[in-house]
Amino acid sequence: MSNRIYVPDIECDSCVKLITKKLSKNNVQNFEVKEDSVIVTDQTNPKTVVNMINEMGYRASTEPFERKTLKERIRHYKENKHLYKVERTGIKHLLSVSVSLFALVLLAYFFIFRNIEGFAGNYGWWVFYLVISVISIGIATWHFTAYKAKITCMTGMMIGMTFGMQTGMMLGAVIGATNGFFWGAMVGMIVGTTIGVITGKGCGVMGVMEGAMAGIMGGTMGPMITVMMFSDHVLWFMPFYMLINIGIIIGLSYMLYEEVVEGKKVIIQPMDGVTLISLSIIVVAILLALMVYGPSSALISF
Amino acid sequence: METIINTKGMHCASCEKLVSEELLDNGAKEATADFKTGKVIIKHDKSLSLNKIKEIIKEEGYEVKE
Repeated sequence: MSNRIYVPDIECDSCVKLITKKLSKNNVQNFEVKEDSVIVTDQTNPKTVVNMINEMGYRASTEPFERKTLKERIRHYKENKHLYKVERTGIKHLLSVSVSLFALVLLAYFFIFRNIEGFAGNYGWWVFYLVISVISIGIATWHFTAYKAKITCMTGMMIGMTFGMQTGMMLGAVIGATNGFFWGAMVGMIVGTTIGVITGKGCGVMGVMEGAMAGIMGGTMGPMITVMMFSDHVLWFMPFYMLINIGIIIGLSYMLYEEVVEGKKVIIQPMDGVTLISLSIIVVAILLALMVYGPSSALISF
Repeated sequence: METIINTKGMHCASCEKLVSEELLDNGAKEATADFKTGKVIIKHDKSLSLNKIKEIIKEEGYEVKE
């Protein structure tokens, strides 16, 4: 008799050794640990083996793990709202951060920037894109840091890379458009690398390296794109650029839930809403001041 | 007594667990491994010697920095 237990989180020799040790200690005599499953060929009940492997923090099942389609995910959400508590809180924070940042920008406009001639025409769309970028990156980072979980190297590298790249691309593009390539690249690279390292470090040095490299790449590519398009429909290009980048960030949060959270033992420690809003306001205020009072790019004309 | 060993080669949470479990199975009272720093902190008595600790870590496939 042979039973296959599917264990999709096996990713290295240490995982194989750990599972082998655990099963041997618990008197499972005939088994083989493969790259994504365990084949048990003795009389041990497969459910007992599944429980042993689950106890170690790995997902395990006698049925193959299949990713949910979007329809299945929506149905699962509707039927199991308690499993998506962090995500529902995230949506509330998304609304409160958005309201706070747009209120800040409006107040800044009426009390400070209104007297600057041509401000709305020169900066209007770029301020909007700055706020949208900070909201999307901020909420996605909050979502990621809300979970303390064991992250595989593959997933950790993907997370660090995407955060670093998207942060650099979005912020770099906006600051590049208003302040020129140098400042766009500096901001994109520094913030992108920082976010990439913070999010990638969950899986150790591989994630840190991946996050840092992506921050450099995204941070320099973002402003390069807008600066190169100054005289070629940059304002028509930006809505598509931002939508695609936001889509990638939403996909990242979706992947995070699927790969890091679902069916795994995780500790939930989200940052509180006030801290999130305060950090977002600080970042927007600093970048807004740089945009308006820093050196101007060729796109800004008074 | 507490012994701190610097190692090389741990790269994930499974490596940490593997090293610490093996040390606990061999008589350590507490064992904490950190793959980010490579440090393994072991609380043990005289029955588990320093040489034996090093041997256990090496047997699991990791290098012990002297």
